[in-house]
Amino acid sequence: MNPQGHDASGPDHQSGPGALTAPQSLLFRNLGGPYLFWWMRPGAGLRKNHAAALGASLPQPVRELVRSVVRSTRLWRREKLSVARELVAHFHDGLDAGRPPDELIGAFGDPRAAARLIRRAKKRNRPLIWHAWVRAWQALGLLFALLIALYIILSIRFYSGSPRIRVDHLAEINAPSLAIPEADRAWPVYERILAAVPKLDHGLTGFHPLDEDWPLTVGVIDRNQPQIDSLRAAAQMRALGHVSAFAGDGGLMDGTLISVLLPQLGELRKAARLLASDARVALTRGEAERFQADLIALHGVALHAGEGPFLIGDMVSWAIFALELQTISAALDEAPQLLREEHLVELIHRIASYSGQDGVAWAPIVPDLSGERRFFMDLIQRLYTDGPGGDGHLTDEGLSLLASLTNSTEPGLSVGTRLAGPLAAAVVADRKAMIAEYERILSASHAGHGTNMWEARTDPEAEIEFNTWRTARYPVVSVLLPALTRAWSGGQQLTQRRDAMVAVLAMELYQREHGAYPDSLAALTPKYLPAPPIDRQTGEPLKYVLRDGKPVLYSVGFDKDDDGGRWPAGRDAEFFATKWSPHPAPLTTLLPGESTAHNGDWVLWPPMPHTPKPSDQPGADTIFEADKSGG
Amino acid sequence: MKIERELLRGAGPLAVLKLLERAEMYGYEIVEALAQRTSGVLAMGQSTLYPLLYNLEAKGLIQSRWLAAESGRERRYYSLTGKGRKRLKEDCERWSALASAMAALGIVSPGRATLAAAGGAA
Repeated sequence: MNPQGHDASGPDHQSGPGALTAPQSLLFRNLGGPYLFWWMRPGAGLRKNHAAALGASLPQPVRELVRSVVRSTRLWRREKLSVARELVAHFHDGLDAGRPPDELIGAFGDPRAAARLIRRAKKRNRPLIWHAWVRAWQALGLLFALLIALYIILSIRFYSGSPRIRVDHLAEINAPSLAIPEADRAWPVYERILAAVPKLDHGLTGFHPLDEDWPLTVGVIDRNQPQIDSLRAAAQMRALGHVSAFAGDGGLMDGTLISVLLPQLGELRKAARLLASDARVALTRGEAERFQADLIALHGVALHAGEGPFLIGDMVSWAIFALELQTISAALDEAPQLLREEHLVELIHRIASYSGQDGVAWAPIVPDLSGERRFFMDLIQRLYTDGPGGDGHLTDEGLSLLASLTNSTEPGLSVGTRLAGPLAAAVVADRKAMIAEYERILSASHAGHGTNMWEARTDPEAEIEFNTWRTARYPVVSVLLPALTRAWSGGQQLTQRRDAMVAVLAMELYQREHGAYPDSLAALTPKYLPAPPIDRQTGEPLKYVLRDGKPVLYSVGFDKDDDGGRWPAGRDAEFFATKWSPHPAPLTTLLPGESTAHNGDWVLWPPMPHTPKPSDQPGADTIFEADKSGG
Repeated sequence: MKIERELLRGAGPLAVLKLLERAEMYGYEIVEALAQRTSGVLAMGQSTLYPLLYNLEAKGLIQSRWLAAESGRERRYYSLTGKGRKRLKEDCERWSALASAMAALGIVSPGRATLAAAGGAA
């Protein structure tokens, strides 16, 4: 039974003194060792011929059987060689034992089944690395199939259903204006008047008599007196009555609330600039009634601008109101005698009533977010299906709209984006979740629930981190969320200015009655003020000191450090004196060693000495300066 | 007597392992031995034997080597590995238990069962 061996070769050959023990052999084979070494050995390519030579000595039918089985295994070449050698050896043994070829062929069994079983068994003998490779491809294929199936499911969901417009937000917004008789609407009057006023590009760039462009401003004002008279009349009308409309440009966004045109805001700013400049001219000329009429008109324009639910309307209204305060401040500083006592009382009541909260006096000025909610909800109903329970999924139509909203330069969707639509819809939050996230952020913000500045612990917007994932998940929120903190702090700062101005007017009244300014703010109550004005940084009364018999009214500022009513000093002092911020200065504005760039107090009275502006200098328009600081 | 494929599936590998217990053998030799020693009961065609050998080799139960006979012709010889010996012992015990159970049911005669048990113990 035991042969007299000599070395034979082949990929699965293990013989001679160097033959490996079984565990080593298995590991060696699993790692592909035999194949590697076999192919590295010289003459390996001759094995096929060698096998053929072995088979050549077999009878034709047997040789055909071997060839057929080996070919049908569809194994690697070296594996086929090994099988062929063994089968050839087998049939030689049978022939040597005296068995006829036909009997051997019959005893062999089904060649096809043999080939199939040999293939299966031989593949099990392949190295681990091959098995790992096959498994990896199988896993990849399975994963791909699953992804395709998922994509199909998502596509069915994505392409089924379409948005349904349930609420006509524009109609609801316009309803109050449409309810006003046309003859009582101020907007058509403003429009007609301002159409007759030339462009103001080269006028009104000087707002103070010391400004180089002041003569230009006076010229513009004098030339447009009829229009200014008409503006005063328009400003006294009960309501603006502007009926908003869409752009009608046929674009994808046309018809959505965010594409609504608000031309009235720019025009009202223009009217305010004219009236404020006219008041300034009246101040220099000592025309008390004209000055008072302009102030009343400015206030009317501010209220008109705030009409409607749009936050941008609030901002414009605030800017105009700040201009009104600045004009009053100039009068009290430069020519207080121009304001008679009854004017002062009237101003106190009028200014105190400005809050944006239906004329509730002394109420903090807060942004109206109802229009922002409408923008959001209008877009939501155009992006999502309207499913049961108020839920829904992003639609194909909605994705196109969303894409045009986030990328206005490229209309429509690219093929790639369209194909990715079902996947995008799976990432983007569903209707309910999107609305919930929007409401969550709004209600968490200071602007959302009217936090007072001294109660604000952190900046809530800083907590709303819109990283890549959140932007992808809540794109509508990230695009349509207003600058909540900016809107809130703008309202808080204007409230501070308003309350301080009321106190300053009360001080003036006191001084006229008593011949001197009060020793404290408490002396103003209750006759002149219901309560001392609050420092919105601390919640305590504003600081008040008399310096050379003149009052100084101030807030301790963001650092809450009482600097005795001193303006910020040093670098960018004027900037920080007027650009109050409820937050630390951005780090980029700090120099090494500076803890805060605006150390000092927020002096509310007296006004900062005016620095004359040269002509044609960017930013020389002092009216815009007031706008910016107010908004 | 012809044994059904399902029965042979479990018996075939064990039979081959048992044949290789004493000495290494080549394919034709195994076919012949199976046919003769089992009176043809466990005779299997080459189409069954070689895949069976390759599977046992893949599992590490047997190993092979090519050796040249005196005639100069090459043959592939198979022998048990350590793992194969262990498996053979375990399978023999299982078959002995099975044979005893069959004997208890009167399916096989006690003498044969004892014989089988003795073979397993060996």
